[in-house]
Amino acid sequence: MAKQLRAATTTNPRTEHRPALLSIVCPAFNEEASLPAFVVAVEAAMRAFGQPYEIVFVNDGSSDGTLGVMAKLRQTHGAIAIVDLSRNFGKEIATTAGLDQAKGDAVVVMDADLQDPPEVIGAMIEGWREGFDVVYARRRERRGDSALKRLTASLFYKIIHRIGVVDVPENVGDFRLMSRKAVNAVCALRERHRFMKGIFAWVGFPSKEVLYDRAPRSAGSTKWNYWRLWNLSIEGITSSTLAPLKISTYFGFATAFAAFLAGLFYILKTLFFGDPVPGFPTLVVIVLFLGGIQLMVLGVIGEYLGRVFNETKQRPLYFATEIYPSDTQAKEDAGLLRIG
Amino acid sequence: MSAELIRDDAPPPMRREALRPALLSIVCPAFNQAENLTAFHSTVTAVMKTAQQPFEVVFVNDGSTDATLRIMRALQAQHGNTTIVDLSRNFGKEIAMSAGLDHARGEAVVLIDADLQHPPQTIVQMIEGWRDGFDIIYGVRSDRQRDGWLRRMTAAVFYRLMGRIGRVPIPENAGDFRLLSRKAVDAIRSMREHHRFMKGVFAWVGFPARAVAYDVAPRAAGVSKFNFWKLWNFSIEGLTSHTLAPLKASTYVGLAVAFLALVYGAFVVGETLIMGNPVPGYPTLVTLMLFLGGVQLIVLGVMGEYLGRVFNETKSRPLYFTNEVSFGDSGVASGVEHRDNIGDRRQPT
Repeated sequence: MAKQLRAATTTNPRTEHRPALLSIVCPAFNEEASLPAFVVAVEAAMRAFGQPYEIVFVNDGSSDGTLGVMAKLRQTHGAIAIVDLSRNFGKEIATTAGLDQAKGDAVVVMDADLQDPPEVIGAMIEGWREGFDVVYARRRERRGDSALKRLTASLFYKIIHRIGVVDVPENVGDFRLMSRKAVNAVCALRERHRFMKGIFAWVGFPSKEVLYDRAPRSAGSTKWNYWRLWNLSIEGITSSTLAPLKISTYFGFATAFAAFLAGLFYILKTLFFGDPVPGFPTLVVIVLFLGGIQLMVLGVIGEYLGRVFNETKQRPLYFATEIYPSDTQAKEDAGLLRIG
Repeated sequence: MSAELIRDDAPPPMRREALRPALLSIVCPAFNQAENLTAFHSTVTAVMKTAQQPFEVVFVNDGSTDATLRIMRALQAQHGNTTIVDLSRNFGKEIAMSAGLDHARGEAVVLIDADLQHPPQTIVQMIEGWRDGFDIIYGVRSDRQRDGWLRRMTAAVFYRLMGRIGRVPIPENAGDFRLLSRKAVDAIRSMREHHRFMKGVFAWVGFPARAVAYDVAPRAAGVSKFNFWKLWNFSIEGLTSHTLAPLKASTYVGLAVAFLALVYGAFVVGETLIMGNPVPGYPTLVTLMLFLGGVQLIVLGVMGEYLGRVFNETKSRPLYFTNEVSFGDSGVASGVEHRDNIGDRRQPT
């Protein structure tokens, strides 16, 4: 985590007191029961902070009346935008669609079920004012989760932490505030297999964490189960790192090396001592040699496959937090995000 | 999965204000259809005249070896509203349809076969669906009685399989005969992958969809170019371009077999250590083969997982499509109109 968090001293505090417009992106799949309370809670919190805002609802192909409820809320509360996806694309894509349409100087991503309390946004705006580009909310405790779920979640983070190239902070969901700069960076990553936690971590930028207590669901039931968690973990690990590929490559090479050694051992043993079973040394050496060669070839192919995988994502090479131009470049638009 | 609608529980879409599309493009891919084209064109013209629907016909000549192109030319000379896309060789029906969609200018587009097995009269019902606000109105064959039982059974198995394993279900018995709104056409055109399984593409783009039943007429002329080898290849194409299921399945089978092999290897080692083995060398050989085979399968499984991801990335599909984006009236968001519903735009740098 230390890798990801830059010390606060390196940020330039913003001159504005608050974002001119705060977009609240909220992907929703079958959340008709939660939405009205969500809008009321957000409105109350924003009024308390004196913060101009818009809500960007993303209807992820809901099969209930979610879209109708959104449209009704949009009529009664003006500051609501609706992105109606053509079918169910999954939460990660829905979040991206919302970010694409968000117009604010800062964007908050949060769930509709009020498990992410809107009051936390005040602390996030404060972080924005201090100059941070990403202010993410970390759960203080996983109240309401079973012991098994807590254990598997912590195991997942431990694995990601150990093998990941970029650190994904633990107990941090999608609930976060991002500056316009960070949002543009996230939107520049257009890969189809989207592990948002990995993407948020990959883009970097000065980040700060805010602690909060996760509330129980306000309405509706959770769509969470273990098969989903398993697939999400596989998705997360394989889309953000090449570690499984690397591990199996080295595992394959080690096995091939051991096989060659064993083959050599059998050849020497037969030459010097002979073998009671005719044909056995030949068989063993052939099996070891072929198996070893196959593993080496697979390892090499795997190495290239990893490269192809990284290239097909077509990510930008880097993001700059800030560019300080020389005098000759000064007429160029300093301070804007440059995508490498 | 119900066969009726792709979004069968979703609330009905908003009705369109227009009574009919300002222009309806009728896209008709044709491969060696010289005998059918004239009858097809006159039937379509008659139906459209009755429905008072302005239309254009977009013929795609998919490298025909007979007089298809000449007849298209003759029809074009007689009727001004005919476009011909003459492909450089035979590219197959899926690509020919895409070429037709690229050159259709209508507010709505109908995809239809030239052999009159898709009755043009059904287009009238499809236009009704368009007016009701649906973006995709697909024809469903009301009876497949003329097909042999074997063909019917294999088709049923195929759809069941696709419905079970695909993330995006494909409606059963829906062919290529369908009406697409401009929004849906633009979405489909933005998907440029080379291995095109059109039924999968139609389902993947989403949008509110409705089914319209139609009776298959017997072929007007010529023979069907369909056979079981083609159906088999078509199924493989569909399965592999629409889903990663075969890859996932072989990964899990491989991992399971590797696990069993390693367990059995350990068992053989243990047995030999404790009880000995009457055949010298046998335990060594078996253990080695099991171990090496197991490790190979594990490595292949991990590679398969990455290959699946690479495959999905190389298709370069947009991330999502939207039915509609409606903006709030606060701040800078107000008054901004976005007509683009394709989520593949990179942010301006």
